[in-house]
Amino acid sequence: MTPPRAAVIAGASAAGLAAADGLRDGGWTGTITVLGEERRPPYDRTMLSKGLLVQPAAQPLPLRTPEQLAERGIDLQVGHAARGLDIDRRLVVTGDGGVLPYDALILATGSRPRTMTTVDGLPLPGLGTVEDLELLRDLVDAARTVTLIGTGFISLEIAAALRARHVQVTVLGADTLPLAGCLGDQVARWLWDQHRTHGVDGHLGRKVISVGGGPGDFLVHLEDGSVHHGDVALAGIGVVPCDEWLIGSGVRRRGGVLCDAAGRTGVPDVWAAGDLARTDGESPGQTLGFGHWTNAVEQGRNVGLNVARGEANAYHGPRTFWTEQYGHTIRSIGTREPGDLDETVEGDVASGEFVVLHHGRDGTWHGVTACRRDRALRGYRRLLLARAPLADAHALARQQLSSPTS
Amino acid sequence: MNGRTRIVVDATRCQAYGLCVAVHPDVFDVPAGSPIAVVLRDVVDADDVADVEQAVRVCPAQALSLQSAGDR
Repeated sequence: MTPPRAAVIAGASAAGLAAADGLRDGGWTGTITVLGEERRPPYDRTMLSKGLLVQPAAQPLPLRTPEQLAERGIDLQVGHAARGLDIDRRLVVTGDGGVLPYDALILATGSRPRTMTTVDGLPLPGLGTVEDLELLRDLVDAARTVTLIGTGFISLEIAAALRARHVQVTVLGADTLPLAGCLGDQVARWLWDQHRTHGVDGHLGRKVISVGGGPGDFLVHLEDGSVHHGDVALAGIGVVPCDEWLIGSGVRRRGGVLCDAAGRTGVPDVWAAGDLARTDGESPGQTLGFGHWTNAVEQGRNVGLNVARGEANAYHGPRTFWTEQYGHTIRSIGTREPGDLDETVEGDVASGEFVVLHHGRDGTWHGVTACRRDRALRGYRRLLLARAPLADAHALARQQLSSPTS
Repeated sequence: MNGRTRIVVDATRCQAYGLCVAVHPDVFDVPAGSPIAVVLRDVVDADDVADVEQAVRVCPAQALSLQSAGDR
């Protein structure tokens, strides 16, 4: 009798767990082992920078209950990280020196915040784990002023949360208008105005050269020679893939693990899912990721289904993300390409209730961003999934305006 | 299986993120001021099931579940 086939999922991430579910939903009858680096069961990371930083003690919710995992025959091993891979002998090497044979391996170790250190080598705190959250809460409790380096989503969500705690916040970054690249100028300007209205100070359009000082008085030096003091300095400068454990393994990497739209890495029976995975984009050298929650879950599930069914179906779901700041929830579906026009088709950006389409000057439609129009989004998502032309989006907007659903 | 499904929102988990509303607004809503999502019609047709299943999967709080409503 042959032993059951073994699926190993490296990374107890949202994508890793979705892949495990996809395996079972696809009919996988073998074992499923999920390796997680953190000592606690996987939890909802999206809450870290959203509601949780405002609250004094609340913890993020676990992504699966022990009962759910047991029911599906998923063996979750926390505090047990993948540290190496032997693709010839089909073994994953783990942090305790053990080896785990696999028939199918799904790489889903995700990403972590990019780190930044002071001139004295002191790492600035970021926000990627519960431990980071707890450290940040302690720091913020004792701080009057916080300097935030970086103008991405996480950074701005942290700024909004800190203002709710009445901490003075200064945001520093090279972009002149935060998030303009992915939301468009009008929405980005409106959102940044919310920050200004809530008392956030910004020194934008100037690169950070170095950070000196230490706890109690950090000194951030900008390229224009200005120096900004803060009791606490935080780094919110994007994420890096957790893929160094694959160096020398034979798995191709470029800003993450390269794979096709089905999730295949090119190494037999080794797949990639979620934040770690990159597919080739349309232009040479460009890679695209699945770094946002919805895409990580759906692409991870698709990989699990493919492995179980012996198929190679591509995942083409439109990029989807959301952010919450000052009680406004902004959602985007699809992309905004450089140089895109931003056309308001429902509501009015200044009122905080809107639907904005992002499209090229040639009329190619790429994406949609909306606020307080959640009910309108299903139609646009379906059109984007079907790669519908801009005219269809215009028609939908006219139809939704004439019979409002919200 | 008659294709009819009951949707359950776990009020202890729901964070009112509203991802489910964006996926299927005919079924889910987060009314202004509500701390949790509400189900507008808790039994859906087979046509709706694909989107509702997606909403269940992508809920970061894992607050949604489906139960077969049984034959009636």
